Amino acid sequence: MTEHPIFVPFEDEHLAAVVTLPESTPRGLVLMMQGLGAPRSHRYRLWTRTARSLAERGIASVRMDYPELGDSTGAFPAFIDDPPVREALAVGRTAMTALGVDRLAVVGNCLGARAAVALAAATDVCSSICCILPSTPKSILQGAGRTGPHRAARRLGKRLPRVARAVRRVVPTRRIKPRLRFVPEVLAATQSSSVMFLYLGAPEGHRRLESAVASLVAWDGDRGTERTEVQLIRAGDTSDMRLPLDLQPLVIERIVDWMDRTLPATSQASVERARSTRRTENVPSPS
Amino acid sequence: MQTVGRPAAESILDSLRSFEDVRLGIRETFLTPSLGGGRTIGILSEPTDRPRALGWVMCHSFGLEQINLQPVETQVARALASAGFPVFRFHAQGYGDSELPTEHVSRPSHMRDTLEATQVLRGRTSVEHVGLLGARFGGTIAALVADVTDVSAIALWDPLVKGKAWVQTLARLSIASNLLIDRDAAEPPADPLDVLRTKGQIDVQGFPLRIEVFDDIAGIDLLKDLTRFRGPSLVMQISRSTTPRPLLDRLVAHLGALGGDSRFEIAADKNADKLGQPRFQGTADGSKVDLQATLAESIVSRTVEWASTLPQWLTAHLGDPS
Repeated sequence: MTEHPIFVPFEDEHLAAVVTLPESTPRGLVLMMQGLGAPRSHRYRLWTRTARSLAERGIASVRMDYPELGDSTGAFPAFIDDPPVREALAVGRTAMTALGVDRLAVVGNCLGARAAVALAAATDVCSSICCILPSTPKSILQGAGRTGPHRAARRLGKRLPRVARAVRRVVPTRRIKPRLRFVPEVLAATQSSSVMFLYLGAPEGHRRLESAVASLVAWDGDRGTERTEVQLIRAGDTSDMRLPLDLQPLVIERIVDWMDRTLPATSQASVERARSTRRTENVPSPS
Repeated sequence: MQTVGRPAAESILDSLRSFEDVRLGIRETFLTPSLGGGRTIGILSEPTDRPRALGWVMCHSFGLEQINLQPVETQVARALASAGFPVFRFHAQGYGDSELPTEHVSRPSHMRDTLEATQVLRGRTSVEHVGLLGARFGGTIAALVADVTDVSAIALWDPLVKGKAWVQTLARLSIASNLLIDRDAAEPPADPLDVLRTKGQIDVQGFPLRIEVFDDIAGIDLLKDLTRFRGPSLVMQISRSTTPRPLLDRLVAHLGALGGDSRFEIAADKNADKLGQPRFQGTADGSKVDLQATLAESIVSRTVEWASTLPQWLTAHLGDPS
């Protein structure tokens, strides 16, 4: 395994990234995107460790700093509704060109998960996605997981705290869980890529997520050979990617296993898959 | 798809190791030196024109603070390079992109890697003097390394003068982490110091703290440990109030008593208590806020202003290095 730090030119700025190459010809490339505030190695060096585990299975990877963070220059985009997709694509394409691959897989959490699905929805370069979702997966939910009535009730509750307290005594409002409504990019991502939602939380939250994903996939009839999975790692409050020491290797293992299963088995298979994809894309539409 | 051979891929990637920022007049280059028995990644920030004979090595902090303080360290490195000083910042073993795992982190490992990083800076540039910079635990490391090797100047931002209180606070953070992880726990959390003594390690916000590291850091006392350093130093207190903290006051006096020219600055800021915590935060409306922008600016400008006075000091005390 070798690691190559690079600065990717992006408009007037430079994005810092590290490309990890396996000893053999890579069978795929994984782009890693963390949440707000974390550098390219991620908290607990999660991406650094994942990159090295992926390399042991013949998979290359690239981890990047967002603008203004880590060693990148520039200013960070507004945030959750404007994820750094163009920046991710610039880094991804640079690594793809260097390695000679034409598709990539993406793993992300929080803002990175939102950027991953947005990247898959906006381009045709993503073949596989792993969305790490902490106990509150709001980054990929419409309105950060709050419905219109929910937001209105909260506003009212803040204005009339006594009334809110009285209502809460009668109605167990904390148990009201609105239906999970994904941002549109999630559906688009499941149509073009294999997607794994890795939920870090309680079984109840996992069941809600599983049910929401099942509805999404059932609604979308034509999915080709792509697959969608929801996996659970039982955990307490993992918001802001707070991962205790014992959970860190589990998360890495699930990411690596998913990429191992969804990326071509060999570098040769990767070449053949690219050729067949290109043939399919070249078939003229019947209309 | 075209298959690109490994040498070709490496050649493309290696061509992207460096960039120039014409606005700042600096060049940044990724280096991959061996430090502390493993490979790591660092960045050399250099002025594109007429570098000074004094260069700097940035010493990062401990645990999660390494991540949280990185934005201000990067800002300072670029500002100093823009003012003519080469600066090398790097990941010590156990952090970021380094080769060895987190279990290797200790005060001696921080010091060893910093010491070796000064050789990297000397080897890659034409600097004749090396200074060390660091925030909090990184500042303490800078001072300790300066005391045992040939370092010309140090800049310490809110350093830990005594390690005991800091590392005990760090250990107690593990209670908060565990409460968040297991809210339904039937029993109250055990005292982390007891757990540390019995199990030998505790989980502090996902970072392992071993008993020997705890004991070693608890034993740090810059007022006793610093005995040799006689170079110029900047000690910056970062606090909400402008009242000097007694321990920092004593550190400045101690550095002066050793024969050095020590300057004490107080960067007062309403967000001073956030130093070492995450700098950016998401808000309810999905936007992000920079909680430390003003504070970071203050640290950068004070440090660069002080560093710019050093070449004259070095000339007066050590002769013209050029």
